[in-house]
Amino acid sequence: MPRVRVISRNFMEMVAGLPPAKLDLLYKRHWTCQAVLRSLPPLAKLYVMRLLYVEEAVPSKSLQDWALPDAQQKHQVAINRMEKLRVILVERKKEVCYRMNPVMQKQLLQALSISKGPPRDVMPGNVAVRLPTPAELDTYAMKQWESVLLQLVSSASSEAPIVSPNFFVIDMFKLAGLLLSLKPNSAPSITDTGFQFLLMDTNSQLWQLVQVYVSAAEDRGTDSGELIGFLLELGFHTVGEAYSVGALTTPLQKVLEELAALGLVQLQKGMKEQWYIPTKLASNLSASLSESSDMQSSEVLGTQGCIVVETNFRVYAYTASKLQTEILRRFARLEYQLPNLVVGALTKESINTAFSSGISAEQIITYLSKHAHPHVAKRMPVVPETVSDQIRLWESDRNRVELLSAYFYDDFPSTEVYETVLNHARSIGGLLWEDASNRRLVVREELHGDMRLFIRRQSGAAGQRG
Amino acid sequence: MSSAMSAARSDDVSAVVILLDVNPYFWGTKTSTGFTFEQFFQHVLVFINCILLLSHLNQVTVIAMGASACTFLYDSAAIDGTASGRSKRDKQPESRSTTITQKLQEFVKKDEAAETNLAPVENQFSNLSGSLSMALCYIQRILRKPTAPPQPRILCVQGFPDAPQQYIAVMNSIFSAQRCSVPIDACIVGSQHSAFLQQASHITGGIYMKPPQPEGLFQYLMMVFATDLYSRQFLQLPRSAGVDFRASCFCHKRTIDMGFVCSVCLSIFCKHHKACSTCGANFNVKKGGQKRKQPSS
Amino acid sequence: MVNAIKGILISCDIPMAQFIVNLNESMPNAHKFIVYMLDDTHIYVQPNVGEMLTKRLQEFRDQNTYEKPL
Repeated sequence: MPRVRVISRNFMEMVAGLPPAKLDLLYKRHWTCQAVLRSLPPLAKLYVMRLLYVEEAVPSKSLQDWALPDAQQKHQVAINRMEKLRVILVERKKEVCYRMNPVMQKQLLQALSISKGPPRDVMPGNVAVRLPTPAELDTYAMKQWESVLLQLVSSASSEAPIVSPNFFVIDMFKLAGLLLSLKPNSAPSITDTGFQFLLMDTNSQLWQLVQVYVSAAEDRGTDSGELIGFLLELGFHTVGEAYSVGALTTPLQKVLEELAALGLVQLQKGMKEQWYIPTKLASNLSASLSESSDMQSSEVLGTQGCIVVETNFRVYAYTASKLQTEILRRFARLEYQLPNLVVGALTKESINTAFSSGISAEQIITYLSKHAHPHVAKRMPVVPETVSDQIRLWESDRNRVELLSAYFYDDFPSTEVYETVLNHARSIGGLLWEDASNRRLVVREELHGDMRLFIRRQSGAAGQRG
Repeated sequence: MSSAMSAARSDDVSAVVILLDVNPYFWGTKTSTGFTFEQFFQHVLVFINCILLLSHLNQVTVIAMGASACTFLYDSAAIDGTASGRSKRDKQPESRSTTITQKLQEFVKKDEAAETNLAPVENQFSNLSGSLSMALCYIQRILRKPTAPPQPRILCVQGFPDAPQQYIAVMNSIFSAQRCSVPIDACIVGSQHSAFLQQASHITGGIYMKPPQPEGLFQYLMMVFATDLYSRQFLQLPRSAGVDFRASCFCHKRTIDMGFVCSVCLSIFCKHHKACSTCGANFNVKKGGQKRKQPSS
Repeated sequence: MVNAIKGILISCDIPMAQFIVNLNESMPNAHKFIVYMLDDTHIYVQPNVGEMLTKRLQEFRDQNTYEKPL
């Protein structure tokens, strides 16, 4: 499912949108270079590796020769990405030449010759730190992330909120367009985009929120370049080790609390010091930057999928999580809820409710297959064909009739006039229906003004001629 | 062959198993170009860093091929990223190169000790068959992991020429690699071409290359062998000029052009035998004794 | 002189077209909304009936649904 690529590409677009000076500053940091390298498409990565030891500019023709003739499109995509991110710089001599960004080149050469440890030093052993076990850390991360999503979901359901509102998170959702306050002081309600967001996989959701967060950071006084650098570095920290908060700059320290609310780090306090422990979510953050990451969302948080879909349209979810239940409630009719199992069915009504709130059939099917229980995950396809076909049929059932506002033209004086008007309508892209034998046609409403002028000119010309 | 492999994954995560030739008989003699073992080892270490830099999911395993044995030198997947199992937190983590060098030194010592027991003729060749089998078993283990495994491939860096007595074992490993769609790449740093590895890369769809300038080994490794299986369909890579398909006979392990073939199991012999040593088929044929089916008129 | 009529173009499949024609017949004369029946799958109707049509189509769809009571 290409969702992660779209969102993370947006993040890299945002990085690429930084002014060149800031970008170069970012590339002075070792770990940002690595993160950006890993986010490139596979072909681009190999090109960077090849150019790493080359000091002078290489003509673009030589670069083109590296790729096979039928792979030229991929080659071009790779070159464009690299240029946008200022990984390679263009030099124009007799022809277009490319050279690697020297700042980045230096950092990557260092990375190759010395395999460095994580970016920051781990807390020294003299400070008593009670490290959480990996399992505890995972549960913490999952709990935090679920409570974030529950904010979104509880505003979707009309009953009393399941979880107490966290205003920082709600603000972010509003900025991302997932929640909308219809009236100034009323509680916000979820939008169509919000529903689609719920059904995306964890990495895409994380990236979207991070993107919104970074764009809003400027308004709050944090330098977005520094923030991006820190976020990219976070992925290289060892999961489960404590890092001192004091080692970070002041604006970054403020940022840490909000990152803890998202579940990316866990904050702990000692006698004099504070430290933060990155979770698996943080390490997966930079991993999912690359365009082609196939990771399942269940791998991200270490939780396994839990949904079984049967050919009789029944859905069994072996979970106790409120979030999963709420999401399932969006498109399935829940029948029973047991301590570790939720039983429901996919009915035409429940799916139609989902459609009317903006979710598409593909999203539902992808969600069900991504969160499949391991027992059925190996089945091909994961969701039975009967179920997936029927969901798509229900969707197309809603689109049976297409209504378009239009204008109907008939009573043309002659065939030539009709033909001219017809071709004109076709060229402006507004032709909806034609009937040559009776000289009638239908054009879109918004192009009516254009059509009227054209016809008047035609009739005027025809009148003069005739 | 290549399309089947790339259909599995559409990204560039790879698991590379590097088979390093550390045979002292080869590296001890002065090569014509003056390429020493230290230089070679440095090139390989930086190459390992390069592969691990490309993606956080990439895995590298190094197996050393000695004269009589082979052993695992390094496995990037075995080193845990989490803090579990770290008792002394004050100690700095050992760098990759130090770990590999230490293990290599231990292995070479063991290898030397083991060699003195063998006859001098047999122990001049590197143990290619042994290391190929080890690599394939390890790859099978990776492929059985529950999470989506990376695409594995084997890179063999060999200096010493082929050992004819290892023909059968090497061919068996090549065919198993073909079955699991694991390409075998070969980089020859010695002076002679290796028929085994040419056949291996031809059959499994890997790349075979003998760099004309061994001092630039790292450049060749980076340009050609660092490419992952997905990107190989888009890049211009060295093609094999010709493959030496000659077989070795099963009885004396000599390379032959013409010989006798058992009609049951297809084993090759250079001299006429009374019975096949592999499958036990009897070759004794009495003149005119065989019944032949008469064609129905 | 060319005649221009404002309205809504409906493109659908043949059963739905027949359904709309039937709906048209059932309306009293003052409320008949079909301007032209263009062909089997296209109908031209008056501009103000868009919402009413969608509602009727929805009702028609729901008529064919049976939901098992909880």
